Amino acid sequence: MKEQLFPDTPGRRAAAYWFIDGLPEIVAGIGFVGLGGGTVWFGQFRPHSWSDRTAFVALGLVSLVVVFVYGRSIMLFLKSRVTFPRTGYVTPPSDEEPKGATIITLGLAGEQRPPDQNVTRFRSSTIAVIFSGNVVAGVIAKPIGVPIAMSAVAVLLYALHRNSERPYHWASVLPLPAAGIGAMLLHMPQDANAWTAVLIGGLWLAAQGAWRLIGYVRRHPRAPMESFQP
Amino acid sequence: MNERIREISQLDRLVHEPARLQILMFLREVEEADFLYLQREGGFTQGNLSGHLSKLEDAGYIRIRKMFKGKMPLTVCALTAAGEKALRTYWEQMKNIMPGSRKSEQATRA
Repeated sequence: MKEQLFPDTPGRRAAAYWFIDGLPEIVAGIGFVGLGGGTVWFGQFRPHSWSDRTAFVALGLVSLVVVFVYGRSIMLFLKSRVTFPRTGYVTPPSDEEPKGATIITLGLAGEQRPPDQNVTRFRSSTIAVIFSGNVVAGVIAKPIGVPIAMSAVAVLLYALHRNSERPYHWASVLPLPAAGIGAMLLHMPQDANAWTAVLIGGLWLAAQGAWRLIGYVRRHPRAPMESFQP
Repeated sequence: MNERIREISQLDRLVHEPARLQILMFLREVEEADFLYLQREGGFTQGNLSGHLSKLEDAGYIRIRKMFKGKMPLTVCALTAAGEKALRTYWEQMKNIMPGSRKSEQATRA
């Protein structure tokens, strides 16, 4: 497994570094699995009592808040134990480009603005793509809806992230439509189509992250304590 | 001697040194980074990087602070306003010295 940090400017490399260990994908993937899997489960095995339903909804809301609102804090906690001791710390990328920022680059282009800044849109674009699968599968509302939705998700994930800090190889998105076909063959209930797409998307994302994390940990044993002596 | 060429002697030697320029350029774009990250990105040895960071800190171009993430000590470096200004000045001087490549000058004359 070769390490992928293609961008050549420090800012873009720092943004790509955020994804070097797969943790952002694992955390986001777990969020989608919880949301999609929980909703599918709830749809199939509706709890009868009022208290069970309330407990389920409360648990779902808390999980959503934990993963999507405190996701970054959770990742920093994990990275401080896994990543920083191995390959170092750099400011995490922001989700938006700072406005009006000027930047100087020592290249032929002279003064330039952002493309080399430490920013990423991975989070927002991934959420949008996975939920687009949810919408497509819900609108089609037939067993064939899931493979169609997952094919669309695969194409979008590949195309949108192609030049991003975390690009996906075309072969790595192929399991998505394959899993969609699998869900169709398993005769998943039709009313669960929409959330099955989210469940598959989450599983795929978490698997991508886990694969990356295994490779990262194998390549980078814990570094000895740093020794900066001014 | 050409005035532009003479300006080379006015360059800030602290910034002009490639390794230090590299460090300043890194920090310019990432806000802050720790010792290990800079070492990996720049391909420095520990001693080499320590020396350059000390010089930059002494000049007030970077700020170094020690912090703990869990039980892990981190030496985090950040560019200061003075460092930013030095880098900008250096870049302006370089632009004055080399306003364009020879090819582009020839094209302009033609």
